[in-house]
Amino acid sequence: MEKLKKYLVVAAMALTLVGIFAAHILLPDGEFSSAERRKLAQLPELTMEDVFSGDYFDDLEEYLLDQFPLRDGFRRLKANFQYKVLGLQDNNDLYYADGHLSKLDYPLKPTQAQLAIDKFNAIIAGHPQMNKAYYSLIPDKNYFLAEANGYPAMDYAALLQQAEGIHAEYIDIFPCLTIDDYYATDSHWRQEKIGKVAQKLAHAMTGIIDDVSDYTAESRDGFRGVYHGQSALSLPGETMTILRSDVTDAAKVFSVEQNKEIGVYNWDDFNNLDPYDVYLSGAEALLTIENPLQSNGRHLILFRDSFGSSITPLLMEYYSRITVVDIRYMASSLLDEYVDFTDADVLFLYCTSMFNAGATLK
Amino acid sequence: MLFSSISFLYLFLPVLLVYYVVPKSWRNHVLLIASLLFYFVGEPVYVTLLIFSSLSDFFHSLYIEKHRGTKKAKIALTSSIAINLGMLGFFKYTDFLIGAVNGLLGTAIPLTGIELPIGISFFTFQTMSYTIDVYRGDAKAERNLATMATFVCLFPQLVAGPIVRYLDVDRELHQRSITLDSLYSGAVRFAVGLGKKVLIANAMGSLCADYRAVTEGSVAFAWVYAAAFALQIYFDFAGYSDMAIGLGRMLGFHFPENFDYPFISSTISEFWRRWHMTLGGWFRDYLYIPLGGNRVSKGRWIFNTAVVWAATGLWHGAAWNFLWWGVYFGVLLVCEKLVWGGLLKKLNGFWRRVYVLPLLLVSFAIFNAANMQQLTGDLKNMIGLGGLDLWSFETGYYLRSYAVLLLAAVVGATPLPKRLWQRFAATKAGQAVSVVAEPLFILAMLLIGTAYLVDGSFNPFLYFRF
Repeated sequence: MEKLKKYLVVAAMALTLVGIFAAHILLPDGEFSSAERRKLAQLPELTMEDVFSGDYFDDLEEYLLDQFPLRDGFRRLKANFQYKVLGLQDNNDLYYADGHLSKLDYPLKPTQAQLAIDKFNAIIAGHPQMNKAYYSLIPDKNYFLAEANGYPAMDYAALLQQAEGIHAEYIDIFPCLTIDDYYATDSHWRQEKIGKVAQKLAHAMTGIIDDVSDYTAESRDGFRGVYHGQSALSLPGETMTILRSDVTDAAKVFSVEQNKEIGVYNWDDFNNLDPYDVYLSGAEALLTIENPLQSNGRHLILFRDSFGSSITPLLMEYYSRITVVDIRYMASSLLDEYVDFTDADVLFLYCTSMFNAGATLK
Repeated sequence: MLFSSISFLYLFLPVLLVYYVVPKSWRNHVLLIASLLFYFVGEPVYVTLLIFSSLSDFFHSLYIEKHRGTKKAKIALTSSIAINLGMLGFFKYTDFLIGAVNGLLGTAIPLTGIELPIGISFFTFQTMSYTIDVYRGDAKAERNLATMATFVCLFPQLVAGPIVRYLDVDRELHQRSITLDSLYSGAVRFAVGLGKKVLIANAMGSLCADYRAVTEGSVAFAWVYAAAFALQIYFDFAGYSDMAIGLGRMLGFHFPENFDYPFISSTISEFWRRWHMTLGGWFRDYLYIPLGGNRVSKGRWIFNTAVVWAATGLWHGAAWNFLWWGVYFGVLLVCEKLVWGGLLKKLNGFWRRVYVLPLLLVSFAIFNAANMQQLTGDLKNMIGLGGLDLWSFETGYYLRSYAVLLLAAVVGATPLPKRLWQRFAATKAGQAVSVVAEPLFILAMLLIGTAYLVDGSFNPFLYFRF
């Protein structure tokens, strides 16, 4: 019996090492990881320079890691071991609470927030021809999940207080939202749940309270958010919904970056690395939207992050024209070349996470 | 190359299986080539140092043996030691000395920026012990250059110990057998070491990093940090030693043990008989005893102790905190012998450990400080003079999050799990269970360890920097 045990131990080790070595050689290399939403490293080119600088071996290790047989399975094993056996509260800063995945985002970084405030104030001060400036902050998921489940969270009260330094009128949308208004596996909110947020913003800016379109919901199953792949946990796919109306169907959206017209919704983008690209094609530096069904002549300039992609269609009915600006991808010094601020309402709409990383705003 | 890397586990080791199929007379050559490749991956340029060191000590030792008992042998020994210490001093201490001179004299001599070759502290000490042993007549000079180079470059213990002396492996370098027992015990030891490193040490390292990142520190978190770092460095280094010893056994060698549950020590002197035993043994045999050991006057003994512990501290790194770390232990050891040793003997085991553990935690806070400012800051935080509250929300979060791991690490740092398993495995039921349990344990350690590596978690080996 003792001898059998020893044979089994040696065989277990040898077969594991050789088996994975063989699988590494025999299995074809992948191009990209859909779970992690990134390209996978490929076999590095062997050059004398890279070998003697050590770069080749670093690249080789990266390649072996990326192309490891059953990579996603091993990542899942680690995540489950981390949560369920070791009892760690988070894995690579991701945690699972109340049926949601979220990423720890703390502490409040006042210097980062101040960068955002200074940027907004500079834009406001530089364009006195605008009608009025507003700002609103979207609570990230940690606002609902973190402290309630014993996780550290940024000081939201301090953040809101600091944001009072923005020279614009504040529109408080925190009371309009609950954790159920967000995707479970993603950081973003669900479009079908934020009608009340759109109404509140529109009411504050335009005074309109009851002119709400009827929307038709259109859904796709199998939505897996950005945290799904990062967490490596086995969680079910979700249903993504878009809201169509006569206004969204008639609207003309022009991407200045792509120099072409794009759709308000693009289901083709559902299979992109980030399925949230379905809304206004995702990351776009500058979009102009014309609403032929609204003749009030009002113009909204929306400074936004990715949360803005899904709420913009719900704001269209209130404006004849919306300009959507993402100053993470476009320098604010270029605004005057592309955006006419005359008599426009200006709204700075950002998630608290983005606000807490103000250095990313150009 | 790291033991806990995919390239080592699933590329280097499977290719090294060729070692088992070549004729026995080729095995040293296979090992030598594999070892040079192992080092080349991490240090493509400094591998020349390793080759130079092998050649230098090979020829020096032959000369010493030829002229044993004469002045020529003494000169050759001095030359060999000077070359080894010269390499170590140049690569490890040049910038430290320049910094000290600049600080002392207010000069602005630019630092050289020389990179520390991985493992230089280990292989220079190994080769020095070899030539000293040949000089003393304790070892015969090796006449086969390939065999000598295999000893110097032997990859399992090359970069982070244990410090293997030539006498430890002399016989096995020439003739060794690989049995089912050696393969089995080596595989188990390697898997245990991998688990210690990847599952515990890396997690404790993450907790230490969290301590540095928190905004709301606390006195409690400062102590948790010191404990986490002590556990990290223990499981990191002991894990590496386990992997090295395990690999050695699978290759037919028996390397000396390096750790013997140091945290159960009831005195500081006992701690140093259980912690990094091969380094302690090296300093004892090649520095402390030649200085006269303890068979000298009290004053001279204190001097000898000071020299040995300053050297021990500086061996770990060219920085002031390492020097203070060594001095700290030197002072404690002198005090244990001259001041409170008698009192300690009157205490029972529990209270002696209550005395030892806080002193060890303070020592590791000194050890891990990046600079003197951080060192004083950490120590102030620990004793409540850092302006921190006793407790904070974040302290609670991290303690809760790491509770299972901290408990596993604390229990794993004692002989209890091993004793319980051995007692169970000796029973009839245990024997039956272990037939399945041990292979499954090996598989689990390999696969879970691999899962952590694949997910790209935090994975440095602390002792590489020494």
